[in-house]
Amino acid sequence: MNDQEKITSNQLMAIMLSTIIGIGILTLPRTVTEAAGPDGWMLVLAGGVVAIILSVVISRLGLMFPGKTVVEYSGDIITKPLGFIFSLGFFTYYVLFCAFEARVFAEVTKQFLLDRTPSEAIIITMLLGAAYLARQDIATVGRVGEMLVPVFILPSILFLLPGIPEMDLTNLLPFMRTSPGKLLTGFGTIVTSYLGFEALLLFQPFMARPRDAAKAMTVALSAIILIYVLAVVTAVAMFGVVEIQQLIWPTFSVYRVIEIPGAFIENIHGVVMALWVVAVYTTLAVFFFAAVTILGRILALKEYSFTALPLALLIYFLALVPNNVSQVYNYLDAFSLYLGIPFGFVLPAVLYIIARVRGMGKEGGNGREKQAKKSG
Amino acid sequence: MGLLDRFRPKKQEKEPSKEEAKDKASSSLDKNLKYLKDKLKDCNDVVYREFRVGNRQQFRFALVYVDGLVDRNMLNEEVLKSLMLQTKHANLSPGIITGDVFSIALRSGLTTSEVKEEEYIDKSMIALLSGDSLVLVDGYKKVLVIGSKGWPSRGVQEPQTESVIRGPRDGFTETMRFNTALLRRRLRDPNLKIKQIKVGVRSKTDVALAYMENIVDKNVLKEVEKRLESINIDGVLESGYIESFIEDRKYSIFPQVQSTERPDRVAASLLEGRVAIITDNTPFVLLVPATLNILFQSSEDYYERWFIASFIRILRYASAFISLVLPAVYIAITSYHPGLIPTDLALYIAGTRTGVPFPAFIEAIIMELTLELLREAGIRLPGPIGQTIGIVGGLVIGQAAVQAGLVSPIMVIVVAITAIASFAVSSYSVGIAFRILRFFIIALSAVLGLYGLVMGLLLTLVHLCSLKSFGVPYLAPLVGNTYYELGDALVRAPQTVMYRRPKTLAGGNMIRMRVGGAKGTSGGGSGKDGDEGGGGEAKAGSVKAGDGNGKGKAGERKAGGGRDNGQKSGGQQEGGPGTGE
Repeated sequence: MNDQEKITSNQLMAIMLSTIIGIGILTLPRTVTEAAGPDGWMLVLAGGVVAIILSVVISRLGLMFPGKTVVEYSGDIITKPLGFIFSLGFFTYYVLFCAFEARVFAEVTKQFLLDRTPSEAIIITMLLGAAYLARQDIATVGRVGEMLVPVFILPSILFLLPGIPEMDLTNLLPFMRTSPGKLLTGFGTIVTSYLGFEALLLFQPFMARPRDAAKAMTVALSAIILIYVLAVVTAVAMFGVVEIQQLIWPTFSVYRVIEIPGAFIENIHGVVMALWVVAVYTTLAVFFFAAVTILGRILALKEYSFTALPLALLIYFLALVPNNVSQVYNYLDAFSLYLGIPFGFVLPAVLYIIARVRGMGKEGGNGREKQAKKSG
Repeated sequence: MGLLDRFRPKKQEKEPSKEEAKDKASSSLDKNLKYLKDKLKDCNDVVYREFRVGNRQQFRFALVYVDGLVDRNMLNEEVLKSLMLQTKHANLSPGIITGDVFSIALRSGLTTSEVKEEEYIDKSMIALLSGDSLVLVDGYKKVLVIGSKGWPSRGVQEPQTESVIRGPRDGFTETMRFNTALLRRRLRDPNLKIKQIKVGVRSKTDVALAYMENIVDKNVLKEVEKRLESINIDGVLESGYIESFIEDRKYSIFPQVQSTERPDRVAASLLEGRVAIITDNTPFVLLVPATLNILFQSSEDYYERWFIASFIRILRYASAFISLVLPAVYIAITSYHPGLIPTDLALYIAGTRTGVPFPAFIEAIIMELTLELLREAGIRLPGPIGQTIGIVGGLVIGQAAVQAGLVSPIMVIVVAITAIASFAVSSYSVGIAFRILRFFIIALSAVLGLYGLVMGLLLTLVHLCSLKSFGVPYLAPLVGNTYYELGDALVRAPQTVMYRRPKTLAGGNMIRMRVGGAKGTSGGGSGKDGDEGGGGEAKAGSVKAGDGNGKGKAGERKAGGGRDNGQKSGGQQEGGPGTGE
């Protein structure tokens, strides 16, 4: 898998768009409104900016060690054993993320589409489907992203248009009344909906021009900010700050209200649900792919696609651990706090700082030398 | 798909040897004849004709050919007659003749156009079996191989599988020479190369690679050659044999090589930088690389006006999609999500389904399978009976099954629309792929409703994304950084917009036409100089008149003058070297 085909920066953008938008967007309007009332959308904006800054940091980090993923260069930066622990943690993070993604997906699907189908069936089919993509190479992932992003984003936005009469923008007032302290506490929960961008730690070396990563990430994350803000604003405008906190998945509820005049389809939420299946699939599959990649690289395997199916089984059992929806979201909060924020935000920055302090990377020629030694 | 390969025994070293030990021809005529007669024992179609040449009948010759494979008139007139009669009257002194009877026969005795010398008798035997004739001369160590191929063959006819409303009516035939000629007639360019090799240890089938030297992607060409050379099979009876050896992924349902009967299509593909593989004994020429987009195109798209062509293309994609999902959508909605459609319709559908003893899934499977049966039966039967099958099938399925209450009328409509849609896909093999995938998606949506349907489509898409044909992504130009090629994907942009060759396919010489030039002097001139080439020629001239821009090989005849010495018309340049019909 070493002479893999590379991905273009457009494909990286597509991967990021499709990865980051997943289960998070469903609850986003509720969580930000709980934290910041009508000012929630500003929280979304701020969280996005932080994600952009960190993805730029990650891309800098990647440029210091060309041709290496985080699994290799974390060992260079913070010594082999610590690097190994870091990689293992990173792997656990992705596996758990997949499990949550699959479980939440199953719960939502049961609620809106298949009320009598057991969650197990939904989870296992989803995981098997994701495993199929995780077995392919990165270029395939890039192409899938490129094909799917317009498919699920454009219609979802278009379907909002007939809902405009239902919206009341005064629900977004009063403006800027939330206390800064409250904003700050809400900040911790909002950044987790941008998780997924840290996959750049793995994908950058597979880019045809790794230098373009920062730009592509900025564009992709900006688009995501727009989509998130749109989701929050429409949900708040439609339901108001109080009502929205009673809804588990307010983003879907928006589409339940909207009716397309004169359309053949009675309830577009079914169609939006189908589109959301696509969004979750891409998220899950990319995380799955990341987990497979990390595992393969930790074990230094030449061909690691065969690990996908055993991993699917592991994720399946992990996904079945929580007993009900509220437990799922409790676990998810803990996960975001103890694994999501560290691996998405803190550790990449720490790695970068340590690498700079130790004067590693291209300036010292350190990374390249080691790479040459390894390959030679 | 390495998975299944792993369970296979390692490829054994070439078991059937590709080249037999080479036997040189002997100087004795009798020995050579004996060799041939030994090897070709019990081959009663081989004819041996011994004769004597010279004014005193002193030289012994023998003519060997395979009856039926040769043009016998030609042999009689140009070989036997010239050698036996005309040399008799020639006043040749014996000295000269004994000195080099062979080269005299070669130079002035034989009045055929194609003569080769061959040192090895076994090689000449292969030539003999492919339709050439051998002239053996006593006392000489070489064999003359006379190109005398001429067997009963189908003439150039309209292709059955890819008929068009507008466009040329000639199609490839089983004779490779005709096929290369049909190509050469369309591309009178020295850059059109036709490389010939033999494939098949026993069949020794002629296979030709055709490509435009300065347009083709050299890596693709090299890869094609490599894969062709690695074929080690006993017989190649159709290009499908070759396809199965050179395709990237054996275990994919989608064809990764295009096959066509239309020379105009091949010519257009060569101009895009693709490689054509022409196989003897079949009218189907293979084109690589192939993308899904290309397989959805029809050559007629480029002959119709772009607006119409674009509409038809969109229709084609839509019909492929319909043929893939329609029954699955019906099943998913009726059995899982009746709330998604208007209540009236949902009630109506439920009403038609009352009394139907099967669940929608079984109903759909029964109908789809019956339809596939009908289709298959209709193809294999001769025309009139095939029609009968159609009528009987249509009546039985459409009318009787509904009246008997076995299936609902809506299901009949769904299945019928699906069938029609699946026939609208221009490539037969892609159409079949979608038809088979349909069953997979029907099954998924029968189990998991709309979610299963979406998963089925996603898996199909992932599979399509993972495919590559000779290094080109199968979904190009929808993926990758080749967005300008989208003009020739879902729609077909006007020719002047598509002035560049597809980057995914071509290897060089990217500018296809100079858009301004076509409107300026050269283009206009070519239209008026009609006596040279006629309309078609003039059009080709103006289209290609701007070529020499990019890597600009000046040797390209079409590129040349049109622009450089402004006044000369592209049409004249183009028409000049041709035959001028």
